[in-house]
Amino acid sequence: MLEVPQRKSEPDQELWLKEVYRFKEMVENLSGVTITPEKLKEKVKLVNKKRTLMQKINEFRKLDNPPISGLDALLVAQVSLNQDIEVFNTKCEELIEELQQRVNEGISAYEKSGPRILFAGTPSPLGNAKVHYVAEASGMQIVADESCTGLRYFRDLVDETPEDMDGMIRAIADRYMKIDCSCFSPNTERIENIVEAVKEYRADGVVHNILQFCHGFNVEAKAIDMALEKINIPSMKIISDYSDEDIEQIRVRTESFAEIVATNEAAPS
Amino acid sequence: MSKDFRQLWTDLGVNLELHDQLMANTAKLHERTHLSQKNRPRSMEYFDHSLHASHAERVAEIKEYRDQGGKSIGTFCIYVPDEIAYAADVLPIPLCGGSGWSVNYADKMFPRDICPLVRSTFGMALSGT
Repeated sequence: MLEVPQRKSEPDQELWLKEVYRFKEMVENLSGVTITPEKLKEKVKLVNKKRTLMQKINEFRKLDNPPISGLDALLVAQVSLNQDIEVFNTKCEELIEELQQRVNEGISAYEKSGPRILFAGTPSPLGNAKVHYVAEASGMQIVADESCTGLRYFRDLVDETPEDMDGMIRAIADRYMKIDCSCFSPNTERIENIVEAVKEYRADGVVHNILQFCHGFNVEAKAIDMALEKINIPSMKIISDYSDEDIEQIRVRTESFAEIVATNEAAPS
Repeated sequence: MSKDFRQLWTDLGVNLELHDQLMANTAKLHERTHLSQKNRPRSMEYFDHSLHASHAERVAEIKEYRDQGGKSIGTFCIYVPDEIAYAADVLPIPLCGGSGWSVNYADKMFPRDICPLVRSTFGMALSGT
């Protein structure tokens, strides 16, 4: 079990750095393989490559009428977690090539235009895409996922410049400390990141997609809404689990929200 | 298609009857949601298939790696530094569950009022799927 601190001040960063060293020792003891700086560098580049490819796929979602749906972009992120990394990277490259071709030919994943929505909150691991599906079936275009199966997973890269082991471990620890999970307090960078993502992806509205009993994200939604109000971005909160029983309730709410967003004239885009 | 993996699942102690239910449920749901979309990129085929592969081909790959002496670790949450695991020839395998099918199987050990992701994962473990 890795101890993830709850703050990001200097003593917390030191604690986390020690935990990363402890993890290194743990995997070395497990396999009997001593990690060399060369090998670590190679793997830092490999995982960074995966993150960069996922970033590129998400770049296409910034366009008007994106060539990939939010539902499918989520599937890519879900698959990134458990398939062979090299094969995954190759398949992402193929997808990027096809998406570029679709853009050139003016092919959209959506049959009609709809409000551009940023999803914010908890992860949707492989098998669960309920809220994404219902939201897009309600006419929304999900253009970004601010979640652990989205931006939080691939937004930040590990700095590749350090050559020595300690420098590399520090760079890795720093990268993982940038993750803006609601388990941190304060977590102002998450609010800033969301406001920035809303602008970057030209979102017209935000849906907080929160798994039941994830109190951190649930509580934090209010602080985010207050920041969104300032830039006139409407939001709604959906708290749900993996069951099908609330699909129709979610549908009624997402359809209404899509209308609210569509009539929010002052919103950008 | 799944027939080819029955021996693998048996070797791993999977409850075949329940696993068939899980797979059928997953495939049906995927058909209703993702596959019903029009105008999808053709390259999504690999990602669609990964839904099946994560129970089959990928499991076979990992088992082969382990049978040859390789090590793997199950991980939760995105704080585990993958690059360090890979550098020690250890495969990191995130275990976060997304299936609604398995959630209630967690009742044997877990309270109902906790995270559905945790319940889904342990529901799979406790139902042998």
